[in-house]
Amino acid sequence: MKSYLLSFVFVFSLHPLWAQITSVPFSLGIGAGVDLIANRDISASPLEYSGFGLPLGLNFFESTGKFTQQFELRLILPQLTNNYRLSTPFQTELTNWYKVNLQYQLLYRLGEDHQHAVGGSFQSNFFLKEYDFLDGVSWDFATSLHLEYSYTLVLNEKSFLMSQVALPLVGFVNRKPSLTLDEVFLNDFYDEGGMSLLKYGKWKTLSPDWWQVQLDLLYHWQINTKLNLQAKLGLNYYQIQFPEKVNHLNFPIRCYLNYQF
Amino acid sequence: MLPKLPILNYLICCLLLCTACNKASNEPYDKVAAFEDLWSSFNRYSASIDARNLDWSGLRAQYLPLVNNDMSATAYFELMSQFLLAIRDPHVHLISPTRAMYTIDYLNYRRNINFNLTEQNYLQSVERHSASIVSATINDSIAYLYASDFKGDRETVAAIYKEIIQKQQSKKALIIDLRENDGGSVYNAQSLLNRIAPERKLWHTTENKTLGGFDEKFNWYFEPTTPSFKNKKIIVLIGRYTISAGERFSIGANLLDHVTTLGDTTANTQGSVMGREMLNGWKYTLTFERCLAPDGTNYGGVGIAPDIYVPTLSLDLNTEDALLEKAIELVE
Repeated sequence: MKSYLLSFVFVFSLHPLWAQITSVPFSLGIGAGVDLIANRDISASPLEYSGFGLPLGLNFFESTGKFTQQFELRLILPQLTNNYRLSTPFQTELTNWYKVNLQYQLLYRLGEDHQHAVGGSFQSNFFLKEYDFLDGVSWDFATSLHLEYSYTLVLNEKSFLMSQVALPLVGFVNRKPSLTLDEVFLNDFYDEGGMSLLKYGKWKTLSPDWWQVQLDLLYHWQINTKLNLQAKLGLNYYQIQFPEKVNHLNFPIRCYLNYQF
Repeated sequence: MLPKLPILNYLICCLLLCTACNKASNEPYDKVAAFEDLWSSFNRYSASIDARNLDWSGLRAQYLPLVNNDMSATAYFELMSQFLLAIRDPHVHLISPTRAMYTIDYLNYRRNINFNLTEQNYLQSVERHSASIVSATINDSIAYLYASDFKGDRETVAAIYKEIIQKQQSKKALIIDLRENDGGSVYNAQSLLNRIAPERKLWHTTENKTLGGFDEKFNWYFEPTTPSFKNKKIIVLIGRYTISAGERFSIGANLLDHVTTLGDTTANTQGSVMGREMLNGWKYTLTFERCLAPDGTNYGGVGIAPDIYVPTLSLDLNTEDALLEKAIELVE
């Protein structure tokens, strides 16, 4: 774990040779990757479940001298990526899990060289876990606004690196409403299905009750005038304190092939 | 220059994280910490501790010195089982990859039904509606409904009860046999109660365990529906193996004037059950819900007594169904 963090700190603390930002026209693409996950949700189990999933993703990206906008949707659903289990050292496994990450970022470039950018993002992160014991279901679902900062390093005329850090400002954090899933809750779930889960949540600002940090490193490579490739390495950590503590760490690694319009 | 080293480190760490997912199941663990977590989890989640007036801190003090990391898995399982058996809650189970402990097996309860004998000697026109629901007639004049649980899809089960009650409308009385009903959905129990209740009435209340105590009460009512048996004599057979939702049905039955409960006291756990796991991956279950009769009585740890008590020990289940005979006598 320390190696990960040191790697990110190192990347963020580089003194690169800056060059002018490369403009990227609106481009849309699809991709896939690996999402490494470690999750401990005390309200369901005292054990940490870890492993990986294979997300499928949709991505768009546009960068001009004034702004950069990005959108990304990653899906890990049992129907798409079955057989990838999150487990504990004691070989207990989640019978199913679902992870959906949606993010839209808008960053305004600062200064004459446009290396720095600040802005915001809208994120929606959903993680549902089904454990292999009676009524073993838990989830965390946060829809939030974040403050973003990014730093761009142009490597050459065809590629650049963009590092980003995001901290949440405010979010609607949806968790199981109480320690247990009582009959009234189950009745709602029976009648309304997954939509009933959306009833339960709390507005939160960044606090010990809910905090999150997200780092991303984007590598952009212009393949030709119509195609570009974007590889992203990420680190996402969040902690939610209700109804009991959940710690979640994941490292999404993904690659998109984008078509430029 | 590209920062090759950090990216390489990142990828190596990713691979290590992946391989870490495939450790063997005989992973060492701290038995003391696992016991502490088990004790603490019951303290936070279980509604049974208050109901049974248990000295929960005293139990920790009693068992903690007996736990040590050198003990075998078998000895540890035995000790944890003994600890959990102190709760005397039939909902409490402990399951390891090789062993299982079900509290009800250790409560010296006896069944008061031998359904094969009952079916063979007393029932006519037997119909099996599902794996757990059987209907029949007795002496052509009494309807009989046996439910070994209240599990199953709510709409399917409701349709079965409706069909049975509809078909048996011409009978003068109904015997509902819950002597080995081990629970399930309280909604299925309510569905049957609604077909014998004459009016909307408070049935019971429930409260769920929270970190600070219990949440607010939820009121459950009889919601009468037709066709029904609300104006006819009804006998409900219960016993020590009437558990959970079966017991909640019994609370309701005892509130209705035209219904008589007959048999032995029910198991002693009425609230809903949930699963969790220990720090070593063993599974357990506990009761997280407190269930109170309309007068505020908590039958957790006690069970619901029948209107007419017939000691189970007095029954010879190999030769006759004396309880059913008594029920027939009451309605004849």
